[in-house]
Amino acid sequence: MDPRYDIPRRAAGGGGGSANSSPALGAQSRRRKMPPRPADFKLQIIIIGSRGVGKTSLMERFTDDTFCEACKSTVGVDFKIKTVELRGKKIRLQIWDTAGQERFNSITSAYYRSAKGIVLVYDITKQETFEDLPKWMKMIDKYASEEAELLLVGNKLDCETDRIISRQQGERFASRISGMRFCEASAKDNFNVDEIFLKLVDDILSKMPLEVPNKELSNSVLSLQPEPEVPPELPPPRMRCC
Amino acid sequence: MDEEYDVIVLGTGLTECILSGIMSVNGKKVLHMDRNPYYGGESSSITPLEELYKRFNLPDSPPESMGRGRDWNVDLIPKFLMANGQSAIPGFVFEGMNISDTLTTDDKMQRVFVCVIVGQLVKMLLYTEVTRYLDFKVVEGSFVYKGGKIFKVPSTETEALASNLMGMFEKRRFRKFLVFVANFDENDPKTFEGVDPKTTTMRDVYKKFDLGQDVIDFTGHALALYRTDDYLDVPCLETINRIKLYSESLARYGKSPYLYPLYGLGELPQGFARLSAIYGGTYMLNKPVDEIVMEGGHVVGVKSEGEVARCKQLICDPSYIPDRVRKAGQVIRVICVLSHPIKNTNDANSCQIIIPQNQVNRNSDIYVCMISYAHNVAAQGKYIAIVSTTVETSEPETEIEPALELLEPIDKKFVAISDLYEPTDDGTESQVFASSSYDATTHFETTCNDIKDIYKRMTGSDFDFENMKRKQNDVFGEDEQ
Repeated sequence: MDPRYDIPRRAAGGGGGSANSSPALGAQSRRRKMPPRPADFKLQIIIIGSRGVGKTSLMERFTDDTFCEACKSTVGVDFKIKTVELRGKKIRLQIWDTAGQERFNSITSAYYRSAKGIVLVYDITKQETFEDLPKWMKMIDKYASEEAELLLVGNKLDCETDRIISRQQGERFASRISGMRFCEASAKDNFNVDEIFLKLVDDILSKMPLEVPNKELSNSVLSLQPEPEVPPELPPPRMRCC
Repeated sequence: MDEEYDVIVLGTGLTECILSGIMSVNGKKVLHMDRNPYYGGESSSITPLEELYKRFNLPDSPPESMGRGRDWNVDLIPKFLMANGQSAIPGFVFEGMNISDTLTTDDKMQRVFVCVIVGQLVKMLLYTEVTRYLDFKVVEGSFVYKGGKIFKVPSTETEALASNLMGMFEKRRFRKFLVFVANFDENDPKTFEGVDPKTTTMRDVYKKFDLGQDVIDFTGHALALYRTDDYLDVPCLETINRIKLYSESLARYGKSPYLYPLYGLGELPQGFARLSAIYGGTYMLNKPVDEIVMEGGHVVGVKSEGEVARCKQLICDPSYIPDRVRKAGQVIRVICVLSHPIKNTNDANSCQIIIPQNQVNRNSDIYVCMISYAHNVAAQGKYIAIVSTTVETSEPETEIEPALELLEPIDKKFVAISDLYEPTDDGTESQVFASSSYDATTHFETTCNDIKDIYKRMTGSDFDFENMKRKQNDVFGEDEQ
């Protein structure tokens, strides 16, 4: 296993950057305005898992470096955007939330479609969230792209004293699925959160061709999206021309 | 279940999902249930292929020649999205498209304004930003049937001149007619050329330009998209506008004015369901409905698996409320799997074929909608052509034979003859608002009209697209170009 995953737990607010000089500066540079160079890649990542395992918390820790103890089922979040730099490329991550549809096993098949990376989360203190994993894998097998990178995360490492699922159990589950990585994390204590997302993105990038055209979509595919708002202090946008 | 909701919605068809989205976005507490384990109801795309075989009660499994079952997403109801419509929406740009001369830049805002003419469903998608969840392709061609053969629908002067559909003299007359329509402005009498938009019938307009029956057929049915000939004897304004808009959006895309979502039409209800969920809607698939609970003549809740969820209003599709709907006709839809593009369509990977009723001695047109592996709805090299029409005789399968002939050889056919339902109760007393079944038309305009109608019945106010806009920001993080 990658030695980075064995870094001892740090206190909350310790910052996302690990001891090594990884080029992934996402966490620290969050408050600093990113240079106005358009992203080289746009990647969609989805987070799935049973209710209450900490999907939104993991996302918010990564994108906003925040944690909300009392927050219940997520309402009002479609996805969160975060830009990271990896392998000299600027990557715009779109991290999608389930919109609470997992509560009654009603996540749409469409949710899985465009995901390049899938983070499957369980709670190390709740047996049933681990037992639910085969159910989520079934949906992934059915609806997700076969090229999607998979990452299994045992969340709530801060509750070690209440642990029910051992690390070995998690490792064993992941080892049975081709290409699935495993790690444990804590959104609350901000442990391993940046690492897991960045590792996932790295895995995705390593499978992509070196020179990818600026637009992910082929010329014949239309995305009927409105232009995103451009803040006034940035230089004028490039005209989107033919 | 044991809670009070503002609205309970039963069935996750497109109509119900759009309404659910509108209600949630406007702050209503919504519970949305479906007895099926999948989204979409009658408007779903069936996957994998094995499921389609099961649904049509075929005892065998798909053969190996059909490729991987999971590559298939087969629509039950064939429709395309009309990209043309009645309003301009500033600020929207179509990625991957050539930007035309109609662009203007507002220097102050540094934004690009594009005048885009859109159909109602596309408009709903844009206003709600459900476009975030979808990718589309332009349908590659629109064709019309004449004398046993199909011809590309001409709707620009250049195309008309090159078309085989008409003789030389007819082409000249048709060209004059198209120029007249393009220049026609209902607010500028100088463009009328003796035609009164409010009183002159379309039949008389055709006479004025001396157009023959075949040209009239395809103008009315392939450009103006009427299914019958009733439009001939009413004032021409609507028809002229329909032809204008078809031509304008065809000129924009260059192939056809139709769009189709990748992975099938079933992606549409899912997109709106997600919108509803983001704004607090609760979703339960696989939930049988035992009873709609009424008290004093109006709905108070829904009973399912022993529990009752209470509500003030109920929206449902006809299958949940058989005693408050009536049968309004029948539609036959035949899903045909092909291993080749349709003959004489220039190998298009998607197209629409219209068989005007006059050409086959019927009261209403027959449609063929064809999509393929290029839209992620079929295995590699496979094409899906769905033939549909209103049933007019006791032998519906015979009625569609002219369409099937165009598709030969057909690998496999799935035949469905469906009843169409409409509500008998408008919901004023009962607060039960049933939708109408998806009809035989080839696009979603009637579906959108049903949605607007139900909205009015429920709220008392006219539908306004502004009501569909997301009320708060639900995308977070850095703004980026």
